[in-house]
Amino acid sequence: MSAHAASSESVAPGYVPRTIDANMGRPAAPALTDHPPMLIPSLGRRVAWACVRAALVLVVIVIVPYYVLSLVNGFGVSTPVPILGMAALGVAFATLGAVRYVSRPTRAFGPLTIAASFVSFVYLLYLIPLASIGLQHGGNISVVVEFGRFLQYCLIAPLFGMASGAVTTYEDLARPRERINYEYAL
Amino acid sequence: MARRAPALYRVSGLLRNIGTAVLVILIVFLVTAAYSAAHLRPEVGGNQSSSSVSLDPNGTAVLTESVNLSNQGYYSISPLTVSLEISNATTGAILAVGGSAPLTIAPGTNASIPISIWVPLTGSSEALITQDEALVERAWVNATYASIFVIQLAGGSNYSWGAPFSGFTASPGAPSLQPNGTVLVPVTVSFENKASFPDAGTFDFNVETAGGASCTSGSVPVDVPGGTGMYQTFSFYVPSSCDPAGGSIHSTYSGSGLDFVLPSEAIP
Repeated sequence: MSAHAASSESVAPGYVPRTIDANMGRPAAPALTDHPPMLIPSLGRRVAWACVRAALVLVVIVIVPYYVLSLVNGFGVSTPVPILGMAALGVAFATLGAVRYVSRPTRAFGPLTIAASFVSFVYLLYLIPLASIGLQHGGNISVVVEFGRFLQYCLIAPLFGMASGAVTTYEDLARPRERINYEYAL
Repeated sequence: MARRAPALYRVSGLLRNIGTAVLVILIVFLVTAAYSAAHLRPEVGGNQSSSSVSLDPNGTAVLTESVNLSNQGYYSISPLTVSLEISNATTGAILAVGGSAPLTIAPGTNASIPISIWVPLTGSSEALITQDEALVERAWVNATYASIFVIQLAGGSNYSWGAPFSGFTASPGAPSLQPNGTVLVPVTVSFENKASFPDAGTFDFNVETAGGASCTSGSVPVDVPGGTGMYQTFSFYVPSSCDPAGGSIHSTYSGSGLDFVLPSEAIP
């Protein structure tokens, strides 16, 4: 069974990927068209890889912060960040990122890129007012470090992500064949 | 030969890459800032030996504290402000507040920030003239580190205030009639100067009858260095027309900018 998308998969209209599954994995000879040769992973493979990515994202943005916060809490370091909110938005972000990855060969990729970036934007906005860690030392010295301004700078990244998604959305609408030819180009 | 990707595709990729680059730069910055901040070494208000008390010309006690900060990291601290508050440990009354002007501490430097706090020895603080007090000194440091991270440090410590006229008493002795017809009133003044500044000025005494009429007054010079005491008897002669028995003696101190009324004593 081919590990790559068949032409009947619900990719964007007009996307007719040439596969290399025939001839025992050897690439087919390039056709004499304007499109470069490309290789679109099958839906199953994309889903599997998206799950791995989502798991990694969850580890990085939910499990590690939770573990670190729990660890430092033992040393008297506290933070007002609620783990439930952080986990909920982290799961939403990881899920959207996975769905976005799966939808890469389709027209949904652009809107999902915007959505994923938007969720990370909201995630940061949610954290900004809570962004502080406190430490009590010896009963009479306390230290509070606020890093809300750092998270404000971090908002730049999802803004670029949303802009990128908007351009992709426009590109897929205006020139349906264009992106896919380069997204999975060999 | 590879074909050049379409403009929209390249723009989209460029935007995505810029976003990723921004994130990577910020994470690198965060890691270096955290590592750098681990090399900050502040010392705030925990050591009475690092502070000193002096008396300024207008009679206000000036408590000078020094906050040491070692910034051996990569980023500057700017601005940094320190605020101090002195309160009475027993009553909780705030006696004085003070602080420093905003400062900048460059990376790789050690800074000693002198902070002065003026304690007026009047009003609610007047007891500090004659009574040793347990005070609470609280310090707050507000700093912005690496232009992004706001650090708030609060510390408190107990402070033992040594009064410049600690345990002041002006004890009148029994009046005695003198051969010349006047009445001798001996007054023994005793106190300890537990402050670090000298008591240099004059005592003014006023002997009053039980009815409040003034019998006589006089002044004596005082020069008692810090850490020493005074135990001295002064003689006041009152006209025979004035009976000090059952009256009182009132004393005031003037000097070094201080001008205050000391506790009055009854004459036996």
